[in-house]
Amino acid sequence: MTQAPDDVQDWLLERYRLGELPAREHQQVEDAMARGAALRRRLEDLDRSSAELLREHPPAAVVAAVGRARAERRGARVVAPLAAAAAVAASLVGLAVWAPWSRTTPGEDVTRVKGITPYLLLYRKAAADVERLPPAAVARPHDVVQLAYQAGARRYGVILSVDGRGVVTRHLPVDGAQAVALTAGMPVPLAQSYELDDAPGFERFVLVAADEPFAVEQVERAVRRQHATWGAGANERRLDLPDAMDQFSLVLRKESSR
Amino acid sequence: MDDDAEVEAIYRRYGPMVVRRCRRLLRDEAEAWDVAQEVFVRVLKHWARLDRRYPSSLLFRIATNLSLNRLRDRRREPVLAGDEVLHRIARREDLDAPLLLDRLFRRHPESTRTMAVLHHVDGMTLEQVARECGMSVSGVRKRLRRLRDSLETEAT
Repeated sequence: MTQAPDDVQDWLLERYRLGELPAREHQQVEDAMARGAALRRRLEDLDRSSAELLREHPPAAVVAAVGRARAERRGARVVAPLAAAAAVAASLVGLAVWAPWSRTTPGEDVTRVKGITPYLLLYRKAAADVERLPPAAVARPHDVVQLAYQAGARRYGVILSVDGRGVVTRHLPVDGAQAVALTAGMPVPLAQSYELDDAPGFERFVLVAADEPFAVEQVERAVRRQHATWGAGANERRLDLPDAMDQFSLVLRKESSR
Repeated sequence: MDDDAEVEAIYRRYGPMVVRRCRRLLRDEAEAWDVAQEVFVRVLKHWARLDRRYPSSLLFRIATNLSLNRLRDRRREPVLAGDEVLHRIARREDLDAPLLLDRLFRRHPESTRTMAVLHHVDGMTLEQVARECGMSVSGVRKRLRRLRDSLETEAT
């Protein structure tokens, strides 16, 4: 939204739309509205933006985060169930890390941010730069990508990916049966970057995190089962895992090699 | 209305405003969403005990404050430099502007930093800032003057 030459700042327009302005300022906006169509268009833009934002970020994540925070405040404890371990296939080629961030060093004073849902960041190495890949970005075979995670309030996590052939790859941990302890604070790049192979259709990256350790296999099984059942349609679905586990999924659309 | 339904209703009403606020200050979609969630967690955890006459004002202020904290932690370029003094500092090639601003802001209370953004970036009058922050106009004026003085001292 741009600042229009009508002396009605964005914040004022937001409050006007919410009906939470004192009478004098409310009248100020009404008067400006009467003077021209530009402000009415800004208001329409604001409404469109609100509708889009609610589509992009539906209330579920906030409802869950607030519920967790309230439960923690009441002293409730969330425990993730455990399961057995298993090996995984590797469909991506591991490369040296080139992440543009500084790492959090051991012993650094960091705080877990209560109520924040963990998420993934995905970057692609370009000729002389690094670009952040949004959800549904187009990727190609041989693109080199780097994952980073933001742990939020969660202590343990697993990062996997699954491609259009249904092949599951472990990213965190690469080896080991249990979810690893996540580092709190700033986003943490994984130790390796990856070159995408020629699997068709998509590459879906999944972060699952919880407050207690859990088995990597539990997540792998859920990913395999879902993609075997739904194919690419699985990308839109939450994994069948306990509610106490946070899930974040980021899907790249694959194009054939240039 | 049960707890979840109430949270959903509040988010549907105020969520877009909060996300837009965080986006404007952070200019990073994922971080903005991250901070926006934190805003709702912080506010709604204590919802029953809050003065809820104008929730938008409270949510806006907390979104501003948490976004500024995130910017401080990020230690990158001063993307919110809306004030001429801040711009001038940011343009100085012989200074590490982000670190300078960071150092300056650390010398002042968080609330002063929020007031500076509301006034210089959002264009609120001193009266509006005072209302937002629950202070007197003269108190806001004094705080902003003190901040400006230290910015100018550092810039020369």
